[in-house]
Amino acid sequence: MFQPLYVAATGLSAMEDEIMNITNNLANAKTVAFKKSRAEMESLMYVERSFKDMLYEAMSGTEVPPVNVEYGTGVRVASTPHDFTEGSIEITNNPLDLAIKGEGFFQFKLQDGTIAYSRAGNLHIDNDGNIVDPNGNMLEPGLIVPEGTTSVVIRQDGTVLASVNNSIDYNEVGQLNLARFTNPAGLKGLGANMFKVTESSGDPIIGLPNEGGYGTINQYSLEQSNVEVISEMMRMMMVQRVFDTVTKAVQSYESMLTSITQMKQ
Amino acid sequence: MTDRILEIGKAGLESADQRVRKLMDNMVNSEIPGYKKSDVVVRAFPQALEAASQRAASMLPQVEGSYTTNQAGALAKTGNSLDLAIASNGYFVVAGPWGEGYTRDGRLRVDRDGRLLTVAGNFPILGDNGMIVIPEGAVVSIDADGTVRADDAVIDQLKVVIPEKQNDLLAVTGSFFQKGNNKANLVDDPSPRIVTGYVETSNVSIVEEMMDMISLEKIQALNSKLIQTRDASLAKAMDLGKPNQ
Repeated sequence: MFQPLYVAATGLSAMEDEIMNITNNLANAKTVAFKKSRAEMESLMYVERSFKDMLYEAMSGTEVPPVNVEYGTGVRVASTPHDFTEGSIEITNNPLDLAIKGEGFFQFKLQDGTIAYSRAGNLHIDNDGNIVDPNGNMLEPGLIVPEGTTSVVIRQDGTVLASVNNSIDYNEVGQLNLARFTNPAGLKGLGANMFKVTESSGDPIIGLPNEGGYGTINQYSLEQSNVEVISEMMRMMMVQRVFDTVTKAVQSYESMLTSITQMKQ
Repeated sequence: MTDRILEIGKAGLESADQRVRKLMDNMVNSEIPGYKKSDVVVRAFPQALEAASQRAASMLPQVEGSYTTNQAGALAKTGNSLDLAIASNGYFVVAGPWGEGYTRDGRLRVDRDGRLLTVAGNFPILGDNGMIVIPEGAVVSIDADGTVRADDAVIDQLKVVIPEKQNDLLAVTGSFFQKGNNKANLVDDPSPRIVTGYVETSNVSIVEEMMDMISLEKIQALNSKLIQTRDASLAKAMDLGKPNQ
């Protein structure tokens, strides 16, 4: 009974999820290296026969004539994969602003000891000389610049050079590694631009920048978010219209039910 | 006692109710790539009359069956290299838990083992050599003729089939189909046209569904009016029979 209402409810809640997703993308349009996500929706299983028919069949021991009527049962959000297309690169004047041109991820050690992956290269040096992200998570493997470092040069292949006390000699102090994934869309977003490995992403493949697909490190640059505000807005308008239509249809159905209930005065 | 007119009214209400169920499903699925509009066929009065004259069948409006339209939806750009749309006729073939499945929803993804799956339902998509597995770390690209490449090396060819008759397909969901009967025959399309970076939108027209909804609302009101009127006149008839009036 009232099947159309259940179908409508699946639609309304899926669209609500999608609006939430779009809102999150828009809110992060200016976040460094933010990766937009998409709500991928799918149609739900069709049911062939109603309970009534099956009951009739069971009770009468005969088969209901094969009328072959199929009913859809609505829609749901199948997944919200992140879209890892590269954002545009903005030039900055901070030597520790790094952008990756390619598919690699920086690796960070979180406070709880686990490793998380990020494309955001807005790095800093903490008071112990560690290279950290804005939340104080250390790069993995750790990189320490010597005391008194006055300038840092990071090459495209990820070697880190430092000059101490304005010396003209730069010494190599470390090497950046990057991680890649078979299925980056399967990574789980942790917030703060961080991603975590999941079943579906597969294990990280660690390698050096500038080699097969990992991408090059670009100093004095930051990757912008890959959110396209206009297309998000368009999508939002479309979803809103469908939402409106379904609401109207619910009202219609409701008035049909009213006309039935008022049949008996 | 069964009353003919009350029965007709009831059958009218019931068939309208079933159509609403279809309409609602079409509306909520109007944003699903590859979704195909579906509706029920209600046997019209003339056919019902003919059937009734030949054998003792009812003359009531009845739901005969459901059908799915195969009209292609418009192509919408997504820019995602693993979103595919078929510009020719035909369906992608997937390995579903029920057996072979057919769909025009070409949103694909790669899982941790490198298998190429559909985003909706997570079914492996089939090429000429079965499941398509992308070697670790390779970049997938798909040509306009369905050739699947991993870092430029050809690894397979996407299978695209065309059903001989549209009613050979039975819906599993609104966008995935299976063979509807044993005689169903699907032929390989040797030269499909695949467009990457696009999805095929559903073929539901919101305007059409809305119009149908309005007319159903009126049909429902008419049928309940019919029942109401008949109910009132039956009550009158009963009053006639009452003594001392």
